[in-house]
Amino acid sequence: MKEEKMVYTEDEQVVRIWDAENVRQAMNRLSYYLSDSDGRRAVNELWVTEPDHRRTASLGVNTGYYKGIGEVARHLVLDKNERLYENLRARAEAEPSIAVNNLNLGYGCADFLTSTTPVIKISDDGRYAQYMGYYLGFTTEGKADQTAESFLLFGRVMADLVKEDDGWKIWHLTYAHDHSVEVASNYADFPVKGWPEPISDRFGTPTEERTVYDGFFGWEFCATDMPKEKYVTYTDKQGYGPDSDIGRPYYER
Amino acid sequence: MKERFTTDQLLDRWESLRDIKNLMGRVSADYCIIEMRGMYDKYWSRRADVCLGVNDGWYDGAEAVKGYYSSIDKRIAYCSAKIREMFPKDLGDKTDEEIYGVGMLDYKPVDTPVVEIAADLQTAKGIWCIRGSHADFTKSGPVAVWEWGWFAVDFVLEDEEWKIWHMQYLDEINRVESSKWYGEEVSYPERPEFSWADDVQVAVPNKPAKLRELYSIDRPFTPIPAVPVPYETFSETFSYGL
Repeated sequence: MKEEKMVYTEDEQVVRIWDAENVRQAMNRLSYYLSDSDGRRAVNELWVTEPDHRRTASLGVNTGYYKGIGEVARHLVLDKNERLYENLRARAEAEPSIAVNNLNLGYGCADFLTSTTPVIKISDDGRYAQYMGYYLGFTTEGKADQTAESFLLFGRVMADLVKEDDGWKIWHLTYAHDHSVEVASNYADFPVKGWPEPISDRFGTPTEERTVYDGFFGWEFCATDMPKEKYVTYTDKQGYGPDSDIGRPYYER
Repeated sequence: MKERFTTDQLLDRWESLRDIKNLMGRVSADYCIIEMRGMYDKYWSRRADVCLGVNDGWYDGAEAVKGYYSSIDKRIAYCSAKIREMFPKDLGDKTDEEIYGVGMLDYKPVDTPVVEIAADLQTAKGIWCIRGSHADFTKSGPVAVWEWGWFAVDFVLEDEEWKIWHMQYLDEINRVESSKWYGEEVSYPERPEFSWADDVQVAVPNKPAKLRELYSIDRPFTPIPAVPVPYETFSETFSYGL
């Protein structure tokens, strides 16, 4: 039996058009705020605010999930700050003129994240959204020995968003980081197998450790993670949070 | 600002959003086909207070902005003619227009847009990431450069069309390919046949200023250009201009 598609009034259609755009812009803002090392602004402005949503919020990285808004903030704000401080202290040890304080955090560092090629679906009930796109960018840190560790970043970003009173908010966010490559290096110099991920330490210590993305296998396992055409309302299994199938090969789902 | 728009207003705003994104798409496409010479006439406002900010300063006012694009045009035409001289067999019978931009690449795809349209629908603001590359003629011959940066733009509605009012075109990275992001860039020996490469230069800003240092290991933390936020009317928000 052919399934009936939802039929919307013209007013509802216009609202849904803007829903998709507002979801897109929320995810784009995330890229800019994280590029500014401003995880605090990202969490405060872009993430869910209702208590139930905050309790079940999550951030997925390759090695697991940060569960609950506190853990999300721990990784996006505290882990990031700690890394920047570690770098700053090392720089100051080599160059005492460099002050170690909040104002100098990020000295010699830069991040650049983009959000591109999005697929966005708004649920039939208008309350939830799914976003999938690429993030392409770089991260660079100047070092005490006057070099820099500069990496080009390639990955996919997936998110469940929920429409709260204040607009669309990120609920579950997963970064499937495919690989990093050092600036000015040659892919031909890398081993075919066993290539270590140079920024794997930046995945941190997730609340729940598990494989969310394994760059060795690539994304062929994740083809079924595309936002579905049929999206009536949010379900854990279809979502991008820790109770979803993200990270599991399709033959294990 | 809590937005309360009717359905018709939402549709108008949607069409404005589309037009603004398409405008920046056209800017990007024109870089790709080396048609920067037409950008001022096609995309910029006729206001006298237009301005273009680059890393090393401002092109302040209509004459300066127009002069910037005009100088790019002159350089392209000059370099094209020189390349024709170098390759008479392939290009000797081509006209100036037919060889315009030969051997040049300027690729500035834009993504990650955040666009806010004023509630009064008279102005708008947007920021885009640039992940690009360009091939410049130097005294060492053509050299490829990786470019990462932003377009941050104020738009104004003029005769029912969106136009660029203020633009910041800022680079974070602008490095010769194969170069690390510290120390000296990769360099190539000079080639006598390209001794003309610096004869015609792009105009410098008429208001020199350091809008943004390129990334370096000794650069203090430098925030990215401000991201637009919702606003009622232009006087209530920040400007990407002078």
